[in-house]
Amino acid sequence: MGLAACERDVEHPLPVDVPEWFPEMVVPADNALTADRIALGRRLFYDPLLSRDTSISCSSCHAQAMAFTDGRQVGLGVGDRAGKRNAPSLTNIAFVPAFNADGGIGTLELQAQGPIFLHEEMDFTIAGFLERIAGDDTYTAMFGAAYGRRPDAFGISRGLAAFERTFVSGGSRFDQYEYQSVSTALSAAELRGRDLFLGNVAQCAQCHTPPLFTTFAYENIGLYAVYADSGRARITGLAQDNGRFKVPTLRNIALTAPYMHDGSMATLRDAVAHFNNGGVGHANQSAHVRPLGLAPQQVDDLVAFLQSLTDEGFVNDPELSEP
Amino acid sequence: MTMTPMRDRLFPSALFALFIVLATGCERKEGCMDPLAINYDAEVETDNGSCVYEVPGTYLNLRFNHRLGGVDFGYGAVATNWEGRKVKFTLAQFYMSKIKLGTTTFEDSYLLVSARKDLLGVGHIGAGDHAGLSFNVGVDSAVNHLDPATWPFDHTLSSNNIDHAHWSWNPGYIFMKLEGRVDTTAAMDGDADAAFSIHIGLDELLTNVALAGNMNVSGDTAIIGINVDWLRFLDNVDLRLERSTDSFNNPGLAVAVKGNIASAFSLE
Ligand code: HEC
Ligand code: HEC
Repeated sequence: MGLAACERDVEHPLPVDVPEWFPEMVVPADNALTADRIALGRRLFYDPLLSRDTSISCSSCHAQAMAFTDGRQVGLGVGDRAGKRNAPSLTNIAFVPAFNADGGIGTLELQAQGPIFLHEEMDFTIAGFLERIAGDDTYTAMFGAAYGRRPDAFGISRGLAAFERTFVSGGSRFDQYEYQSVSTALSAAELRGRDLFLGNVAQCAQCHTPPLFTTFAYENIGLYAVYADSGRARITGLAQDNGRFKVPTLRNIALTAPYMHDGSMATLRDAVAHFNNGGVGHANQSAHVRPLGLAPQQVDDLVAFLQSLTDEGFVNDPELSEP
Repeated sequence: MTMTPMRDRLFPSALFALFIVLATGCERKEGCMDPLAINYDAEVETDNGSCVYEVPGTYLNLRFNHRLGGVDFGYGAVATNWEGRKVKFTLAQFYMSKIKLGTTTFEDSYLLVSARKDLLGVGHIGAGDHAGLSFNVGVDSAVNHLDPATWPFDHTLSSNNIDHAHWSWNPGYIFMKLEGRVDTTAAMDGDADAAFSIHIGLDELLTNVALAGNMNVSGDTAIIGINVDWLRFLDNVDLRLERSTDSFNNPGLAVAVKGNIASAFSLE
């Protein structure tokens, strides 16, 4: 009876709306989503005290207005130290099975600890952060309410992951058209782009499969003959994984320039042109990436379609903003 | 008498009872969270400091005598390496596990040995003579890939540790970190100013070290002294050519340093 009265032990509907046409959100057993956990993670996500010189928070590289990216080619950490990869969008991160462009990390909880220590990101330690917030009664109360423990790495990693799981985006005009029967939601050009995107010629949806616009597979799209970043091979050590990167979601893609793992493409048109050209022909290149022979109008239509994947409600959601 | 006083008495106590139910219902189970304690309880979620430890004998400590060849270790102190090249360290640490004295293995004892610390506690062992001390430099694969945030607060392997050394890109501990600066001039007459950074990790680089000798422990606490010559880890490494590895991106250098690990240790 005592247990039944306890909020934490009762099955609750998720405190976040997941569109019906999305897969089920699976949450680790030790981090069921609760309002207290989300609130703690939200404060942490926007807290620059997590960085050595207190200049950078997670949101510095993952800003809501840009669908949780930073508009830079590669991440820029403490002391303006440049990272090696482009900061990816955290759109629908709750549904991602492995993290980073090479998929080297298995849980969002584990991923959340990385940036705090990374030299080219926050360059700090959890111990240092805990010392800074030792006298902060609000934080202490929030960790207590969320996880029943004093501030520590467990609460930091779980809280950040809980907040990130609320980054659910399924409110684009494409969603209205495709799943909510609003036949006027897409323009004629966007509709032509949609048909190309889903069709057999362009084959974009083979990898960028709706509704999440990714299969989460690791693919080589023939960006380079020799990749400076070996991608998936960095984790597996296998030659056949060289130049393979996790297929990124294309939701909110108009807001997340520049593109690709290294931020090497400035515009959506550059990206579509790359697929139209068919890649450089790397040994590991996917058979789906080959010259498409699209006319300029068709390239325009594809770009128009990609722009219809923006979810204004998501990037303006007050629940996701700095608390 | 009217009913009023009675209701006044009843109402607050009913509230109080309700509060108890809620409070106990939401309270995390309290008790001892240290697996090394005899009253360890895996279901406990809040450690209330009640851990009780069995004291079967002598508490063993290891004392590390940190060296740079013939002199005491010092951060930033310039020493000369195997080929006479100037080297200085800015970071020097490693994880130590599966410490075995005689026939007793301290299964759950993990140490983070840093050149800043000299005395580290290991655990209890029966008094008497023990032949041979061995240990791993690194963390065994079963534990290496667990989420470091899930250890008890003060555990060596917890990401709360101020010296926590863990890779975020391919999760696992950085068994050993050697960072510093070296003179890279051909004539070896310049300054130690070129950075080196050698990070050893990955399951296959776990290294066992065995030191022969007979050790007698007695009393409440015992101390065994171990010499660590940090320069020896870099023996035969040409620091003009090879100064950086995360083990994965330059396995050759990592394997070379691994090969030097055993010879860098001796009993005091
Ligand atoms: C200096 C910029 C920077 C900061 C600060 C930063 N990140 Fe990132 N983040 C990146 C980059 C770059 C990547 C891509 C890394 C890779 O692919 O190897 C990334 C990747 C991620 C991913 C994986 C996304 C995916 O699709 O796999 C998550 C989740 C994430 N960051 C969350 C966070 C959190 C939480 C924080 C704060 C604790 C944070 N980041 C701080 C730049 C940053
Ligand atoms: C073989 C699988 C595959 C196919 C087919 C494919 N893509 Fe991609 N796409 C990827 C991968 C993998 C990346 C990331 C590559 C990298 O970062 O190096 C990517 C990246 C992108 C990006 C940049 C995303 C970002 O966040 O940086 C866009 C835009 C894009 N693709 C659009 C398309 C379009 C349009 C098509 C069809 C013409 C298409 N893709 C076909 C796998 C594919």
